[in-house]
Amino acid sequence: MFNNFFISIQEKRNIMSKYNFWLLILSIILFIFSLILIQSDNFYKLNFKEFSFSEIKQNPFYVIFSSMCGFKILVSDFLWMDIIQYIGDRNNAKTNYKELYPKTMNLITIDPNFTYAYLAVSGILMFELKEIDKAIELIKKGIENNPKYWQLNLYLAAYTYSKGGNIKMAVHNIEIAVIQEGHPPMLERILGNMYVKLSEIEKPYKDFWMEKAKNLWWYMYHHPLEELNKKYAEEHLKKYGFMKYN
Amino acid sequence: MEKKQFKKTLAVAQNVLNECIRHKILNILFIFAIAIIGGNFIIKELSPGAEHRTLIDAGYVNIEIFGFLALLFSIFIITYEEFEMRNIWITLTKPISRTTYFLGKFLGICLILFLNISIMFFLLMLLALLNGINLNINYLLIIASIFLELVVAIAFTLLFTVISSNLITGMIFSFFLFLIGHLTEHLKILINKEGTTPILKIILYIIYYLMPNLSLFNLKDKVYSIEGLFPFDYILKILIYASLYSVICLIISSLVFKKKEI
Amino acid sequence: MLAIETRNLSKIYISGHFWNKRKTVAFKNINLKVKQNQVYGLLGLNGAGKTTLMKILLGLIFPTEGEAFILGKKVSDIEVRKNIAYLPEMPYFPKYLTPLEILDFYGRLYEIEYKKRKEKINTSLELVGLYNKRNVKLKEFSKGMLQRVGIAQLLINDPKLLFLDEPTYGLDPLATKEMRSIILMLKKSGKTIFLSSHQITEVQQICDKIGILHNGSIINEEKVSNIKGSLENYFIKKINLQPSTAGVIYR
Repeated sequence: MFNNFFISIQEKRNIMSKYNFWLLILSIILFIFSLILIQSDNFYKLNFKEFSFSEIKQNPFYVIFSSMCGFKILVSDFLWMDIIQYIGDRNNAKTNYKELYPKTMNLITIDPNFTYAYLAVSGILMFELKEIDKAIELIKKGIENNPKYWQLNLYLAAYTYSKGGNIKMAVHNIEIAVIQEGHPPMLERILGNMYVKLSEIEKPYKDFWMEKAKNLWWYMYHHPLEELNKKYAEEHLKKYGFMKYN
Repeated sequence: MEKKQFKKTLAVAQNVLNECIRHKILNILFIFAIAIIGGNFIIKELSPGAEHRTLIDAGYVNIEIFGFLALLFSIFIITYEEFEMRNIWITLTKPISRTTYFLGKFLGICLILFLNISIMFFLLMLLALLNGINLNINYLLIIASIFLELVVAIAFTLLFTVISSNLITGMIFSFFLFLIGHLTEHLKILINKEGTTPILKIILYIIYYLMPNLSLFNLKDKVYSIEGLFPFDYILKILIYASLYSVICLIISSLVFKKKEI
Repeated sequence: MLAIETRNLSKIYISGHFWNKRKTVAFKNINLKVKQNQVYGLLGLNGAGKTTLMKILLGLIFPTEGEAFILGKKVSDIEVRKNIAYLPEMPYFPKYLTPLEILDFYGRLYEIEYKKRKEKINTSLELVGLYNKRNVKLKEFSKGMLQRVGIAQLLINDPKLLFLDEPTYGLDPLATKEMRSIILMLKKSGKTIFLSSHQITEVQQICDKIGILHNGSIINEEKVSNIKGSLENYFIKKINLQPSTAGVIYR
């Protein structure tokens, strides 16, 4: 260690110049190390994916602009406003809103997590424009990009049921939805009712469906999201003999 | 750093802060930024179903853009007065080293940025609360990452203004580097592409490491793709990255500034 | 200990492009010795290199060759600057600050403690007649008032050595008289003053010794008391005895 009394200020400054140089070298080494550390980070690996430019068919401008300034979500917000304007323009009805699906695909390519777009546009495709397959394809893309967003599974359940009365597919999707956090308590009651309906429709598999219903009701009884769910579960467990009356 | 040197650094920083706060251009820019953020209140009406999202997204983008413009203007004002109006002649003949002066300038610009961003963020959060948006710590982490990104921008802008003979050239370089910094991550597509030759790969890797990777600080684009809060260890890593990049720029700048003829 | 000393000091500017560089010699082999408690006037034509020499002594630019010392220390020594002060030609200050703020800033750089600093600032402002305008923004000041702020910042650290570059440039006769009286007051209090000026009559009234910088060297140094007749005639005579180029340009 240096003794301050025996080092003049000028000598101290010479040491500082050398110190700056070595500090620079050390900073560069640590900097490269920090970049490597970031690249091995899980959050980075999951969320900082390269943008696949080939996916954008209609408007590469949006991709480049959103990437260049880091405004991906704002560009997707503006694309959503564009879709709203498009839907709101009655002239487009003449062509059956043919640009609606491509515009939405552009939006979800830039921002795959814009969940409201999947819900709203698929609903329009399904119920207004009767483009059922496109609606289902859109919702499936939404689920692929947002696996924990229960509303998408619910919508898929509704669409598949509307398409061909496929109650089993609807049940499958609602089962996925009730696992997600934040789902409405009513959904569990609906699922229970659907299990009972399936047990009546598919008589050879009655026991299978009733077992599922029983497990669901017991879960609802012990972990109710609301009081109504507990009452419902208790009622049904007693009705079907899974719980004794007091 | 010695206590006396630190006091002088603070003195320079305070001087820079006072000068920039009172400057008309910055005040006008600031008022404009506030107006735009307030205007988001109207913009969100154009986005039914995604009003909350649009309000927040546009707010953050405005903060980032105006934050960058504010730092560019601040550096321009201070450097212009220093060199074109020879304000720096008297200051550098006082017992202050060029490094201390330069660090004080950097600190002063950071303080201005912090002030601007804090007020804009406060306004945005107020608007969010009035619109019934549930706030969580992610919003604070996003603004912190924007602040870190702009601190890196201050460091490389100061580097360019010191290196270049012309102030405007330095500003232009800084502006383009800010844009390129967001594209750095996409260089990887070229690096990993099959047709890329080894020599080109090396060059691209060098560019990738040299350029500031500003997309690392872009948490606002990730807020809808994550569950829960942003991981704190990632925030710590980008803080370290920002600190080291800024330190490197500042060391090079101060070494150049020491040898610069005023 | 000499106030200012230079040893073979040279400054050569290099300009132009990589393939077409040009060298401009500001001055070569200057050996200047300025004693303490003296007012030294550096005279020369426009572009002679007076400001360049002063900037080298202040550490704002760097010599190509040679060394320079102020108060016995190298010009690169920051600590020695606690004892010097500088007033440039047409001083400019941050326009949105007030005299009080800018002087406080300089006082902090001189490491003057708060109470003492406040006292010195008030004294300096009173001396230059700006005490009543201490809280007015500098952008509202006239050229003469800015010059007075420049003088005020010269005084706050009670320096041993002052550098004045064209101290009376652009001032009206009354302001010039005030400046002259301040410089004479500083001279009486034993300070060393190094000034450069075109105002030959002012130099004759203030300075103890003059040096003439011409054609890249100090061609003449003389005590003002030894100069018979007007300094202006003396200056012109000395300049005319030299070849007429100002600066030397060669590739």
